[in-house]
Amino acid sequence: MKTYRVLTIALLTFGFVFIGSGQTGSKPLQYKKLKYPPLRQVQIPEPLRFQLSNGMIVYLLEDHTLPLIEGSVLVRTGSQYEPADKIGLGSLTGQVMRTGGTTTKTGDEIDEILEKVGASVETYIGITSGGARLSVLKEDIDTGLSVLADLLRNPAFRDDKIELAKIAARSAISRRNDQVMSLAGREFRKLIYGPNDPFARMTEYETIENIDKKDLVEFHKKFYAPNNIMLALWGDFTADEMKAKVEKVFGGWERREVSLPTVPEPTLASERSINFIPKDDVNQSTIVLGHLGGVLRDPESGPLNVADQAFGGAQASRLFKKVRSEQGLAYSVESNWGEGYNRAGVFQINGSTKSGSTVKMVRSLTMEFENFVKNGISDDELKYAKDSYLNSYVFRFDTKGKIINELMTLEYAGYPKDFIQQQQKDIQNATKQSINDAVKKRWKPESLTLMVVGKESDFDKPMSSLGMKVRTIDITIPAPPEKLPDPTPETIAKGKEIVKKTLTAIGGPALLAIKDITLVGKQMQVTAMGEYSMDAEMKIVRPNKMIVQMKAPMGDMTMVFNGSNAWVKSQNGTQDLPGSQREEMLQQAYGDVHYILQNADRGDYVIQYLKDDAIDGNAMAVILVRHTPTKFNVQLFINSKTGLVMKKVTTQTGEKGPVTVEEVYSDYRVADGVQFPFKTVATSDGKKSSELTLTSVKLNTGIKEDEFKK
Amino acid sequence: MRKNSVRFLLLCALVPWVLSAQDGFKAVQSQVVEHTLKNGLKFLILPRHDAPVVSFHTYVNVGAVNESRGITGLAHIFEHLAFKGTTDIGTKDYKQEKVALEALDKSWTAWRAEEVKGAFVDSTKLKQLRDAFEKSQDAASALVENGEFDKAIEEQGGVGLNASTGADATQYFLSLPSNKLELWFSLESARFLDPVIRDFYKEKEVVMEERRMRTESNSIGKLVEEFLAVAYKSHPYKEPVIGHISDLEGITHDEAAAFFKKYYVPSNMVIGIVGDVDPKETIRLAEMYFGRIPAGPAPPGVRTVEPEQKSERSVVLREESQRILLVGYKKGSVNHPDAAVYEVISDILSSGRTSRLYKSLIRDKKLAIQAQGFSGFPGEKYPNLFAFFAVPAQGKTNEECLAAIDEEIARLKKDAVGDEELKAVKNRARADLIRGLSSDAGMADQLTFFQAITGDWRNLFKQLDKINAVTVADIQRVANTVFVNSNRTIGTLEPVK
Repeated sequence: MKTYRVLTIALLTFGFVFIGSGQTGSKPLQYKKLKYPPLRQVQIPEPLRFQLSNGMIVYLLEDHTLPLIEGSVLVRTGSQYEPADKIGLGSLTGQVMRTGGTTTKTGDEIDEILEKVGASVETYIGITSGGARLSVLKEDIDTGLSVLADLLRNPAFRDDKIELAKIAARSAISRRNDQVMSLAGREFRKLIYGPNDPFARMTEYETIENIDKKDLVEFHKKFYAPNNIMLALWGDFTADEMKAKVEKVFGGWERREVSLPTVPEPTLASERSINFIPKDDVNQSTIVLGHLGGVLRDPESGPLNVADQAFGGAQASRLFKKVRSEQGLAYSVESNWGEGYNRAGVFQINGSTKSGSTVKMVRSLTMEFENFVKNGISDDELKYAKDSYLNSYVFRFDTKGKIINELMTLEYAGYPKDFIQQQQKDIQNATKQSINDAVKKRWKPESLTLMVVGKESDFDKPMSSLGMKVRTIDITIPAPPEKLPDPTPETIAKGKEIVKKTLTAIGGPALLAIKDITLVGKQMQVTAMGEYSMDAEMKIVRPNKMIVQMKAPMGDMTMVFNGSNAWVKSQNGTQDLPGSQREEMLQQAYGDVHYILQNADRGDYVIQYLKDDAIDGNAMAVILVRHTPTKFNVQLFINSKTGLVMKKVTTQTGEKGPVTVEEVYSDYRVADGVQFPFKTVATSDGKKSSELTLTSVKLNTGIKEDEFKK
Repeated sequence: MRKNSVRFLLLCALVPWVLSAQDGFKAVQSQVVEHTLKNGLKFLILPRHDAPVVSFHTYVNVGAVNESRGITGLAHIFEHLAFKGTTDIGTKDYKQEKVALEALDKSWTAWRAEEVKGAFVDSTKLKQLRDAFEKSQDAASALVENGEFDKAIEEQGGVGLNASTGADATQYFLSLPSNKLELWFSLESARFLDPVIRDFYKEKEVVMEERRMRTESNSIGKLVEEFLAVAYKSHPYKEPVIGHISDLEGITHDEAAAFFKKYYVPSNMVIGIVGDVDPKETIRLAEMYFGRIPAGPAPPGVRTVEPEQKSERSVVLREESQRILLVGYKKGSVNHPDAAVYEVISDILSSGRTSRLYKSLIRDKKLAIQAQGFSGFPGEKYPNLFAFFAVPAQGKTNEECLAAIDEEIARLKKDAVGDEELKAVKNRARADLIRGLSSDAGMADQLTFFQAITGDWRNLFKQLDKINAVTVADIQRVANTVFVNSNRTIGTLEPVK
């Protein structure tokens, strides 16, 4: 190899001479010495555009290179318009429009028609538009077009295919935390737009369950009218022939008024934030930082795209060179100045690095960003970024498909048809000054949102070392809504019977006469640091007041709930409890077994028999108790022989989503004529969380109102 | 008798389009210009002047299969290194850099020699050696003109600049405005004529990050790695393309240089150029630029042949992740006489909503949200796997999906595939081939693949004839030979609990 190196150098010298004499390309040259002929003038063919009398806009472009015809459709719709409690409706409508068939053909029949000739027609609904794609061999165009028109005009949304799409949607939800990259992208969008924004909100089990056939039918009806649709076809046809074909399948579709709801604008974050998503099954952290991006028609768009290309948008960009090649910190690292056509995109800088260099990488990315904003683009970078943008322009128009779709999309989004040429001019005219001004104006270090996904125990430094409050994001998937059977006259009657028996078993009139209860005992609590026990005293006054006193290792603590407010008294003074804990106290009060039995006949409870079950071989009848005012429900497992309540099951909202809480009762003893379980073992999702052992129970001691004052 | 007449009718119906399709493809075939340099490097040029752009595809017939124990991941590392430049690209001063690089390798070797002592390591010495290594690395890096190769292409409007390494091959590709044809010749020939292995140790770190991303922090990547380790006993298809982490740590500069010298010889490479070019001028440039690369001995193939599988194998991976099923049956390579039959079976099972696996697992039994059977895993050059992949629907199990796949396999073995179904497969193969012609980059890729792996680029078009020749009996015969339990490996990803 060494000998050849000498030879190369010799050849290069010759080459240089040749260039000087005006002849190029007769000896190998080093790339810097090359001179290029001008690019052949690109003749961008103009598609034919016309409108049908019903308002449908059509673009046609002939391309006779291959015996193929392709098409695409744009519809002014999108999941951005779906109601907040039916997230997923747009997507389901877009899918089932195709799979669910039409009024005259099932989806399966359409599959057969298309696939036996290698054709395809697919429909979809995205966030800001809906549409379809068609691809057929030339000879199958009539089949393809008629299927396309039929699907857009007469979808039948058959139930079996709605269910199939729902299965896919539910399965996707269950898998959404399995791939780090998609998880990170989705959570970052939520941080930038807010969790309820149409660009970020997520399909959940519950929102899928809320959707039924009539929703799909209505969604389609609302937006799918010819005057709200654009169609592009390109390929091996003559425009006149195709015009007639389009007229034939779409011409009879009647115009209808369509009104498009407005979507509120997102706003730029007013301050920095640091967010962390714990994921313990990875050894590499995914880091994303950024803020709200821009809109394509912003005056700074051209300069910012040049800046982005230089900063992190390409292989020879600053981030790639510094973070990947120089520091070896990452395989993937990039920036993207995100732009939407009519609504701001997401500006993001992201990369992944081994857990052990997470904080280092965060600092490195932040620093590079701050430096770029402060010191701007270099002369070299400016030349590189502008050249690569302008020289690669030809790839925007190198196929007929790109040309026609670009034009249709511009019209769809309300842009002038020469927008690309304007944009090219903007980039041509961008100077170092205009780029740095645009960067200073739009790239905002003070608004940076940072997000890290990873395993913190392996990090080089804790997240807290980044110097701000770290917000931990919980990505637990909310469980599907419980599907409990609706009460029927039979199950209600049977429930009543069981309650009656239990009421007698537990104390009959003495139970009904309870006004207050005083419980004394030991409470054992399982915590992250281990188990510890405390002396506890509880005073309960019907209907919903409660005082809990604990002698905890860190000092005494008294928790008071007066039926509407809750607070804690300790050495540190008095503190109000947040709403979620108040809610929990209310649920505790109305979910108390003795209270339920006392008030079973009042209108607030709906009680029904649920099922038979067993605990340790003992037969149990399970009843479902719904407390209608708080929409809270519990299941009670009642020993069929003794009538005593042996177990209570509830679903509570935990830090990481819903938790199944079970209380198992044992050691029933009689106190003042009423049976009380002297031992209660509680578990959370199957793990033991606490144990209460009572030493005494007293009823109706006359607890004073004063005790419930702050 | 009746059956025969049906078949005869069908044959008549098929004849016209078979002929016309062949004519169409003949036109394309006749435009492909083949040119082989004296050093053995073959160029396939397909001129098309619709737009002033051109796509390039360099297919190097070396992949992870050519690695041996201790150097897994090297083919891929070299792919990364090929973007680092030459003696006059990517350097600030090669004379100085050369000295710095030699010092760097020395200091790394010294550190590594201590580091591998494991329990007997002298930690003070190790730290000193590491510091010395990092110092020499900084010194060498200071002389690097970082990113020059990429920049040279991107600033001239190059797009799709990338490369890939698989079990069989390493491929480099990009597209350029067609007036920059010579730029590609200059850069691409330089990097294989005169490569400098720089940033070697940092690039290994980058590759380790790639491994963490693709495999270690990705449950499906992990499943594939575990699965192949069990499916293969001795053939290198068992090894991960990305390499084992200990090998990535230990691979030396000299090993990388030797690997390049052995496998990046002109006769082991095929280059496809498709787009707005004049074949004559292109050949002239090819001679001028690539003719500089000296010929080399043809590299050896893979000696090890995977022995016949005697027993069903399985692997279960438990992760914090939802279920995935992967099943693989051993079968012949892309050059096996039954190659077209594998393709037909794959289409029957997996292509679209009329495919058998879609109808059974997804549509009717509602067991899966994705289900496919495909030929050519993890490579195609050597005997490989016919693989099945299923993503169970929520609440459904891998076992249920496997049982449903088994049912479909049993059906293939027992019942003859209907003539209509087979005809649809053939129609789709033709349509797909026509669609494939529309992309310059896609054609450059396909032409080089067929040339390098099957020995003739024309097989891209002949493949359609071979598919058209597949009979119902072929399908049944192959299904009965390949889909045998003792010939399979089952991999499952199960959630932790």
